[in-house]
Amino acid sequence: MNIEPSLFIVAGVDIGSTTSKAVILQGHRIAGTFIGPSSTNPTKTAEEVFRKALEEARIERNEVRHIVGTGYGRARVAFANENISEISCHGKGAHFLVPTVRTVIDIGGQDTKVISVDAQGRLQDFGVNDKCAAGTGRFLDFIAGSLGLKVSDLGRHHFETGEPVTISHMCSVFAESEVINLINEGAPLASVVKGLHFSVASRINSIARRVGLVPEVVVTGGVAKNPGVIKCLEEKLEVELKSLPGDFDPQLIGALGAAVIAAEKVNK
Amino acid sequence: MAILGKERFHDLEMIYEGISGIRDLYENDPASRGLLAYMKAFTTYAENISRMFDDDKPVVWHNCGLSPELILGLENAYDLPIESYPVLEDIVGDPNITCEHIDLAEAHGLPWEVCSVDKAALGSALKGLLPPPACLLGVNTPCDSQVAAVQTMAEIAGTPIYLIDIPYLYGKREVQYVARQLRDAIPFLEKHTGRKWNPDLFKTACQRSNRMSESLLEWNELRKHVPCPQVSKVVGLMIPLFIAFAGTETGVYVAEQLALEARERIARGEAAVEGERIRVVWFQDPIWFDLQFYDWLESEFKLVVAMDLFGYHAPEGKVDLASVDTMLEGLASRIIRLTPMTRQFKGPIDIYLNDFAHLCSEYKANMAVYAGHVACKHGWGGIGFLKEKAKEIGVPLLVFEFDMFDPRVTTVESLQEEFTRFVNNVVLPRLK
Repeated sequence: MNIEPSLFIVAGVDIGSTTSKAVILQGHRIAGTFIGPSSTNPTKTAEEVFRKALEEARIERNEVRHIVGTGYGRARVAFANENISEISCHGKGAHFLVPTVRTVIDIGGQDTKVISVDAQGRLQDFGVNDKCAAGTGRFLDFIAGSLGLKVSDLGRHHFETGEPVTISHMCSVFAESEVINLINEGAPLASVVKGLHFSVASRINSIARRVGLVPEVVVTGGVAKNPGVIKCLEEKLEVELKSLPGDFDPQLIGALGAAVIAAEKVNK
Repeated sequence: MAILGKERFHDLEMIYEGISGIRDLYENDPASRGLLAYMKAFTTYAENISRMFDDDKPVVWHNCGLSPELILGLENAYDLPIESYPVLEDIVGDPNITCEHIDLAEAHGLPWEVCSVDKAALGSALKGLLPPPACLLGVNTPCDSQVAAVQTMAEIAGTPIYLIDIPYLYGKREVQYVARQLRDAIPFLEKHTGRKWNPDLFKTACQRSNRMSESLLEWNELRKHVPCPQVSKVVGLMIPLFIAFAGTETGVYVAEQLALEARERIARGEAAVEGERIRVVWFQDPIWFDLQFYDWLESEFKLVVAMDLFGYHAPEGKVDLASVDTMLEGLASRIIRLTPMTRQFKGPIDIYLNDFAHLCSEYKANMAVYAGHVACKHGWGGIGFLKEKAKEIGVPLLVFEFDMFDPRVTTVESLQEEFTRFVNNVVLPRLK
């Protein structure tokens, strides 16, 4: 991608089901980012996250040349110059940071995507699980609540002592009953948490196999911050997952990709 | 056209109305000559089905792996593909009737995982819509579902069946094996129809098939033109032409009209889609329950289906007319090496993959579609190989599941969503 440093400023705004994100790109540099909770008013949320990202970047709004909206609520990013699907944006964002990536697994709040890209970062194929909570952040969120835990605690509990139990149900509703039964029967919490993570990884594995798994593989989305899920995924997929450089927040990949697409548009 | 006093012909009436509707819709469309030729053929076909009930002539059922030339060698007999109703109802009639027939077959005990064309065929037989057969001449291709279907149909009809075994490979030995069985089928046909098999009639049928093939080969070539001269929806109608009209003047007429239309439109510089930007090779079953889906693709994305698996006419189909033996071998070769689906879905997967790569190259495809008919185990069994091949040749491949006869499985709206997502995310960015 031909971007001249400091020549122009662009932005990507990703309105997700659970969180909304914004990335400001100045040339090749990520100048500012922000992640905030989504609300029932995506237009207002978009304004908010964009403003906060601009503040971090110390850039005025009128300096931004082109804005791309993406995500679940992309049509409601009223100030965006255009909107692009999150599938394209995640592929693009991951490729921007990791040019050797060929498979992107995005585990979001309400859907999971497996995206195959070529050496130029162009999409080749994708698979989406958007009709069922299994394998998504919502599944973990739902079960964590039943266990009296925060989602952010799950990663920590994964590495406590205990062999993983098998969660046989894919459906979140039935899995919840199964988990409660397991806890009542005395299964250690760590075992149940590991079992949940393996369940998510199994679901993602089947999508990934359909799309075709080609290394390097990068995981994005909020659930990528759960080291337990990452470990299970590596086992199920039988690949070592590539980390994002510089501890870049995986939740920001969609917004970053939107910003990269904005830069490509301006650069033409 | 009302057929008075025959309530069971409601289904045929729907077909007639559908044909009339399509003719009215496209009559003044300069891009629909080929489609209108099909409608003329379907009218004749539907009328024939009516006649079969009233005439004294024996009817020989056959399945979609077998074109009717051998049967056309019988004096004063009809041939009838057992899939007639599902094909006609979906393409020109009312797909809801196909759904009724599918449900009837499942209620009768046919497993749900059988192909819906076979279920619908059985349903139409159970409803008494098919004229009673004198016998059934079948082949065990293109798929396992057909093997079950022909035997079930024979049992339902209480009719004797002669099933030709199509071998795994495609060589000379295999052609001779099938030719021998075709020869052995002749006394079977004569015995059960009470009609004489006439080599001259057979030769005439083979001549017509050759003429049809010549036009179809030309038509295949013409559709390679950029931009494609002719609309997408006619491509997937090839197999009814092959199975119901091969060996007849109607088949020759339709094939000639298709080629003529394409030729004339190229000469006039006319494209099926103005500003064509996406050329598709559709390498699996067409969407027959809503032909206007192709119109939507064309207008929405400037996309044309240049060729599909049914429309592809492989060059191995010419019948040598020198003698009955050479004609039987020629027919055997057509069955094994040319008949769509049989060609691709039996034997080693190489032909399937090579045809795919060949078509993508020849038709300059920048997108491919695997429209995965749910019960097509042969197609789905090779999906991994097909995906690898698509990546190897650099053509993005859209894969989705649907039922070519039953719109309830994947709705038109879901299909539109699949295409929209794939075209916008994968195909269009590559064109920029």
